[in-house]
Amino acid sequence: MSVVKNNLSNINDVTYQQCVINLTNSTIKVHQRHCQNLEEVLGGFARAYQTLAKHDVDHAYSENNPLIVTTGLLTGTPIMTGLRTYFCSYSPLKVSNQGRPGAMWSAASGKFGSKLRWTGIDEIVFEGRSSTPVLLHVKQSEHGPEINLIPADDYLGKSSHEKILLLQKQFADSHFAVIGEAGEHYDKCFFGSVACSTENLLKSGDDKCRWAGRGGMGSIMGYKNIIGIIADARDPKISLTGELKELNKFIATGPGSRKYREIKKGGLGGTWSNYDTLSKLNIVPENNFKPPANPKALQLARQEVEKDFVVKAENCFRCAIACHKNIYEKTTAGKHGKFLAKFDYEPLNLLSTNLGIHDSRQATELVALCDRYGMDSISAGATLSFVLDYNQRNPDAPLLNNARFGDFELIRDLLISVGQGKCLELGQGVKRLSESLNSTDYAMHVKGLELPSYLPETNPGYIWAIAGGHMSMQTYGLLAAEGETNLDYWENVIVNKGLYMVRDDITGICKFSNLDGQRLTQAISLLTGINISEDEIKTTVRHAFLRGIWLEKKQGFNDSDYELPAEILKMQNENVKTPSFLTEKYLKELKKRVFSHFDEEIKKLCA
Amino acid sequence: MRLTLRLSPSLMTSDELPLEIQLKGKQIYDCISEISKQSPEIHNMLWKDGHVNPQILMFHNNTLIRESDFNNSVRTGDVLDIIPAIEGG
Repeated sequence: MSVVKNNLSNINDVTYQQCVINLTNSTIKVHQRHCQNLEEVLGGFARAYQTLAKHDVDHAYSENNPLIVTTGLLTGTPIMTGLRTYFCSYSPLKVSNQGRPGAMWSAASGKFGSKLRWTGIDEIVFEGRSSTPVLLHVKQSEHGPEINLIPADDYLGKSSHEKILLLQKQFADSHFAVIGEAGEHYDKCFFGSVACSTENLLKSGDDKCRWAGRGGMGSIMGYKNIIGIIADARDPKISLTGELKELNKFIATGPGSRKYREIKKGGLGGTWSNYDTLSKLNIVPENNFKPPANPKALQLARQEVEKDFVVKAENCFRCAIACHKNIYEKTTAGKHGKFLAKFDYEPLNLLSTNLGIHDSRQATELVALCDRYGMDSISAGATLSFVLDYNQRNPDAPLLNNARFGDFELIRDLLISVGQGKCLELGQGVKRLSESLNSTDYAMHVKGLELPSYLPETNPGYIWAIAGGHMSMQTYGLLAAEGETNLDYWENVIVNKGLYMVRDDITGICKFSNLDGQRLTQAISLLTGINISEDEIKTTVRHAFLRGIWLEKKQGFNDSDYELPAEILKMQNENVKTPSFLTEKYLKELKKRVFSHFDEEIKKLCA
Repeated sequence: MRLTLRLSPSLMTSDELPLEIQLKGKQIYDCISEISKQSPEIHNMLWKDGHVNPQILMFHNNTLIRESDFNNSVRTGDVLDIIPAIEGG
């Protein structure tokens, strides 16, 4: 991104370096693009969605579906958590009832995004499809970025972790974004993810990637035959100014990141602590999102796991939040031994408690397997829990080895099978699977994207999430926190609060920094010279979100797609301690109200 | 004594809510009581059925506190952070 001291009187003065690669004919072009609007200036999905909108895509696995690997304005800058890379495309998983794919993005930290920007490239657009497996090598040089496609046959069939370790031997001062076996088998697994390397991984040799998990962006890479991307650049020397030091100190010690910090650093010990909080209301998903009267969720709370294992808080590049809660064997001396897995609330819950598994060692194995094969743990877990539920309801005609809740060995085998591209039933995701079985009522997805670990009966906002229920609509914890059920309240929080959650899927910083608007504008000004107001940022974020809704409608998403799983409207779970309020009538009215705002604004924005 | 209350940005339900407010008091309880005068919205966020909302957490300096800690003394320069108990990842 090239900018001069700029009060944004002329947005065109801001430029970014875009590399367009046509994989079909192996041509590579680098363009200096002049920004047309603030969405392009800030970057991330806000910029990428404008490119996606120019493509008419009927099927995610088609040559006219681009994959855009992009960064935010603050990616690669010294602001703490400024590490994000965004993978954007039409998703194989998110699909309208009419069959057309929805636009989607998935974000990851690690160090890949920073390295990419340090090569001099802000964004890569992959068009077409390579006939053979390739790696993309982007190398910083004195004459500008050198970009080449390299044969990748030797990397096939390896885990994402093995690929990264192999690449590290050849490209010493680089970071990597690669797919696992699941992405290679894109036609049998639609939720392949992208692994981005971390410094910790490269130093320790342990499988500690950061993941762009949601929406099958790894499967899109697999379809295009891109096995990995190498960002090859030296780390720049940085000197932090006083103001920037203060900003970073605030991110590391302020209220926004407390949830993710260690208890000894004044935090709650990570997203994992949701187990304790949500258990009080019995809303930790269990047995396909139906907590029983006597839940067992707390058996996997951190304090229980720490009895048998060592939990170490580790971090991304230059980040003091240390949100990675890594699980290690505990030696007889009580020290940490072998690395096993990383526990976050979502992967842990959806690959253990929600499958009826309450043993921490088994949980580490399933979480590690999902990473090993390069799959989105949310999609894999929620599709598996549907299968277990189906088998319980259909004992005379069970699916997939008649696996049941808590049946660890069979569940593990299924996870391996889908990761190896041998189980299309699971790999196609829960929407398509449930439709093929005519059992859609308890398939836990919205618009084809499996739900994260918050019960659908607690969050009507899922309907408007444009890129995953807990990453693009911040309404998932509100019923528990505020207990409000009236329509005015939900209309307001969806239209005026929840959607702003996507801000950091644009700017390049991590959501876990939870940086307030005033400090964000300060950071942008200090690091880029661009003076932009809080209001301008809010408007830009809103426009980007609305463009996402508009793109859904352009792809044929209609009223029938904006729905919650039907069973939660028909059958109240008496064990849940939050108020029950969602009915068909309620949702119909809420949709009418929310879309009356969005449709009006979209008409002006996308005219 | 003067204490700074800091609200996590993820709790901001409207632009009118302040991110920080200064509160006076000898004990946490005094400061908490003063919130309703300065920001009824934050007060309503904090309390539920006569008790601190269990889905809202408070940290006095770097220590998680409960209602039973409200008689803790306050020193000028102390920080009281309010954050949501539920956040994803």
